[in-house]
Amino acid sequence: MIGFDASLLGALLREPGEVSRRCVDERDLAPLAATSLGTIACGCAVFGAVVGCFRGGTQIPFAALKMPVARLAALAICGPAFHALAAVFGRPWSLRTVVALGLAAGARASLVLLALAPVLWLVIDRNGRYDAVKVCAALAYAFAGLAALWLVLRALGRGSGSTITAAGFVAVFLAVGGQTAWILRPYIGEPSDAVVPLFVSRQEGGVADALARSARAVVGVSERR
Amino acid sequence: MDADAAAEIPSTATFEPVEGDGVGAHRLLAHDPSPAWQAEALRAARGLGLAAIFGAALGLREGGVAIVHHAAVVPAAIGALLGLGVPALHILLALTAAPIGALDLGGMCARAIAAMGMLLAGLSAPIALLMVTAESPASAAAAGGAGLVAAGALALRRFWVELSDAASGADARTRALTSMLAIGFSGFAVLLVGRIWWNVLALVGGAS
Repeated sequence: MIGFDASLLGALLREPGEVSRRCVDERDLAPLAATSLGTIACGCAVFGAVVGCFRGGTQIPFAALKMPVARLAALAICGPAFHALAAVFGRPWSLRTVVALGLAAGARASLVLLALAPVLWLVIDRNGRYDAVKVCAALAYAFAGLAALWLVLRALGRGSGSTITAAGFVAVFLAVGGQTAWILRPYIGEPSDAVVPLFVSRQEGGVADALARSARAVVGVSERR
Repeated sequence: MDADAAAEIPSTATFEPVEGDGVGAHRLLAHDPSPAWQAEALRAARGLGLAAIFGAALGLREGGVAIVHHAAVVPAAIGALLGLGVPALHILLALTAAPIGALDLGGMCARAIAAMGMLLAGLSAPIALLMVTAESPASAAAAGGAGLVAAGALALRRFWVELSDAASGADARTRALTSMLAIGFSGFAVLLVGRIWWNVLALVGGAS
């Protein structure tokens, strides 16, 4: 029975090079995958619950459930694209390697989200505005993404084609991750909604538009001050 | 794709054999030590088949017959380039006395198409998600267009690198002429394939 191996959490954080080599060499991937899946589920759920605290009530479990689903769905959809990108740019890795690498990178990002969850909670607790909370959550995601990217870069090494492969990974994951998160919104809940729906069905543009609107609103608030 | 990034794309000659299910990808893209028309044709056909998956993903925006229509048009444009552009390139290369035989040229085309098809097939799932869920038609068109452009640029770059490698043993004049022909062929490829996709694919501006 393959289970969660807590000792791997330290390796994910401290030894990204070793973890990435393990993925590329296809060494003992089952416990790594199981641990990564568990970490993604827990880390994203905690971060989602904190995000849901902005409205409280049922929004806390809804966001805690939707956040890991969005992350895992994005990884599943991106897997074949990562496999193809690696192959055409000189790294014909097995799909097993690509999936393990994606899960390990996702787990590393989830641990960073877990670490940043108290900071976001403090922002919410200090009566942070809706747009400020949204931008803070996006920044936390960006920071977590950088931690994941570091692991992927270690796997790609410095050989030919590594930069463009990494750029391709980032572009695909940004598009897919943003879209899966957008489909499953809301996580925070619009202040104007009397009751926060489980899923938003109205047309709102897109994830990039929404973030730009919030960033403008945050800057506008600072300017007025 | 910027110039620095494009310069990093390795030639297939640099691939090392690996174990596992990555072998399929390796075989599809690597040089065959004993090339044959049948094997190269099969490689190109696989690449076109993989490109059709991307086309089907593009068609999901409209659904129904559009799925089949887009699945046919994406590889058909590449097929048109193979039929119209590659024989002409072979004749012009022969006029410049470039040491590149018909089978060599066919192999280069097959590997470029295979790389393009593999990338397009890999991008199919993300594109399908965006086609089905993107609220703005412009966003969907931009994502689909970006996939086609990225895969096309990859194929042209790979073809260019292999053509330059093959001509590297020739004299300076022949190498210069080969480079000029490669530039001309790339321009023709962009115009022809772009025209077909633009005119026929509803998603990127045409009518289905």
